[in-house]
Amino acid sequence: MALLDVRDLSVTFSDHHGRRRVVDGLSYSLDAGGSLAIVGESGSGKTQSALALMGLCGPTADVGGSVRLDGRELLGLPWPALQQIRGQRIAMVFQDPMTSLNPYRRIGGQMTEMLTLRKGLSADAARTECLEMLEAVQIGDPSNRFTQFPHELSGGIRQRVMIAIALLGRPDLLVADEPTTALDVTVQAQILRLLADLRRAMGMATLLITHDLGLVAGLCDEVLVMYAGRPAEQGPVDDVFARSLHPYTRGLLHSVPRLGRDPGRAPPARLQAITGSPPAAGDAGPGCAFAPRCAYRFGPCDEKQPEFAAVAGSRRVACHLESPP
Amino acid sequence: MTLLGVEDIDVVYPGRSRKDMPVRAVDGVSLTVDAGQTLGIVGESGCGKSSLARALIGLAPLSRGEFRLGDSIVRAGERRWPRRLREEIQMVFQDPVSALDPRMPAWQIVAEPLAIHRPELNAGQRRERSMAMLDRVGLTADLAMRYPHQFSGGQCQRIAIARALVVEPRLLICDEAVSALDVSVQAQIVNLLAGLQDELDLAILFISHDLAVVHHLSQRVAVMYLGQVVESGTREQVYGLPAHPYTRALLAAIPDPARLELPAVLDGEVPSPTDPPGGCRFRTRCPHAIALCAKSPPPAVAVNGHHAACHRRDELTRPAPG
Ligand SMILES: Nc1ncnc2c1ncn2[C@@H]1O[C@H](COP(=O)(O)OP(=O)(O)OP(=O)(O)O)[C@@H](O)[C@H]1O
Ligand code: SF4
Ligand SMILES: [Mg+2]
Repeated sequence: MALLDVRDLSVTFSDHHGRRRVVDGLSYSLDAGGSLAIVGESGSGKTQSALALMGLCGPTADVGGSVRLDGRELLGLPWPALQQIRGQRIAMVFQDPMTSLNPYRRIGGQMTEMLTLRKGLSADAARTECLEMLEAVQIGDPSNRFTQFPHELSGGIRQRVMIAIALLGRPDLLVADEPTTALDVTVQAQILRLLADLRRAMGMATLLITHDLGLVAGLCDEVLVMYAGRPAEQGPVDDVFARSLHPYTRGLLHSVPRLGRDPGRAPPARLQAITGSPPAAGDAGPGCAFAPRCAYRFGPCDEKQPEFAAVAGSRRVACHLESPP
Repeated sequence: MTLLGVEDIDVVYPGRSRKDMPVRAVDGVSLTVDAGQTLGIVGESGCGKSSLARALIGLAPLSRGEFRLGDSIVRAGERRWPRRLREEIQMVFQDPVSALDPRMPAWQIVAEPLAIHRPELNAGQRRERSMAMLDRVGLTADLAMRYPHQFSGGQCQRIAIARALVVEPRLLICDEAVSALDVSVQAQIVNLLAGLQDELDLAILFISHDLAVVHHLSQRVAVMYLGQVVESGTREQVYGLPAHPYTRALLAAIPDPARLELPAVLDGEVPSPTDPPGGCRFRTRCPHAIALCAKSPPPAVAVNGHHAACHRRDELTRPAPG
């Protein structure tokens, strides 16, 4: 049985403007210790799809479908039960650690209370465990960090602290939403390496959410590409990147400038850009959400939403084309 | 032919209070941009790349040194700012939306600088030029009537570019101008800049933390670290035969969809510019640092016009025997 099984997940926001389905028909599963990256451009619904797993989309959201953790349905669970799952089974790390840390409290206090309040550990035991965890995320001189405030830490150290806090509950699943987007490229490389090491050492599953295709291959085995709230394509990372089945995935891969094997050589004069800009999730018409930008669009594309169907090689794609472009 | 020549400039921000140390954000930077060419500047946060750009348009203090563009010269400490420069250097910033006046339709945003720099034009002519420039950046006449909130981020950046180019500057500075855009839209703007450069014979100073985008757009590249240029040369030199350990670390850290292994890791983070390490500023993170690196700052040595400031350049870049 899969650790996490997501079926036909949808998130719909309602306000006085009406209803907007920002996540629609999202399905995937993740085995214990497995790794999946959800990739998409801004507004494609990546964050909402992750928040939905833990009932964090807020009061104006209507979440549909099914989210099973070890076979147990999470959607509709009462708040205290979800709270417990969030502390111990599923943990989350966000892009900007400053918004998740309390700026007025020392790191030590913020960390230990996770264990004293939630797990009932003594202050001493909590302190020992927290210091160990700071060491596990490769923070030097942890007892000194304990006495510091969040603003005294560099961006990279803050993100390490957030990861340490997330791991205190020894989760089975770590959800990381753009964990390195705010960081410099050399620090980003450090955090990616750390996440990969921790994943191996602790055997936890990883759900990485990112807009950066470049981050996916090093950290995850599977990738799911989202467009306008819907899944476009899914499969093993190397297969999807080597032979993408969806015109959008192809377009994305051609859009990123690449250094290639010989960076001393001049690049092609122009990038192969996709025309137009991505719609906000939920704004697509009745057909394929990508149709207005797609070079392969034909008859059915504007009328019917393509199904997210399984194809050979444990891959799935939502496109009307008979064979890949 | 050299268009922009920057000579040994510093940008120093005074401390906010008496306790605060002044910050030397740019420390002895020299560089040149040739007419019709792009110089890319790469570096991590706090390396001074934006301060450098802002000093060239008078938005940051030019504390030492001088720069010239064509016949105009600006020296540190001079109060007078050559009038022509305000028109000849234009800049496009990272956040396209906040750079545009929300109360004006696109054509008016683009026409506005003409009222200052081209007083000889009447209102009709200004509008005409604005519409032509918008068309050139890919926004049709019907879109020209719309207001900023009706545009996507990519379209707003097109408007910002049109506004910068409408006065026909000789140098366009792009400070992280494509960084906030979605990948698929970023590619369009990168292509637009490359196309405009060809058509208008424009010189571009392209500042970005993204080494792959800089590689794509620039003929020459300068790598900055803690306020200084540590390496510069042609794209082929800097990317093909990087001579500074920091450049090599940056190149190794570039995420790429085709790379299955994780990028190489450089320890630590950029130290604070208020108190940079003595000697070579990169030594606290450099895997090759030796005692000499702490003692004296390495001079920037040029080999075939390829500058690098590293004490160990020769031994580290010598091809492996065999
Ligand atoms: N509380 C809310 N009420 C209404 N709409 C919302 C709410 N939160 C998010 N949305 C909308 O849902 C859509 C998906 O948002 P989401 O944050 O999941 O995208 P994302 O893929 O994570 O984007 P990014 O890359 O910018 O983080 C967007 O159009 C967003 O405006
Ligand atoms: S369904 Fe049609 S429009 Fe959509 S991606 Fe496939 S070919 Fe393009
Ligand atoms: Mg998000």
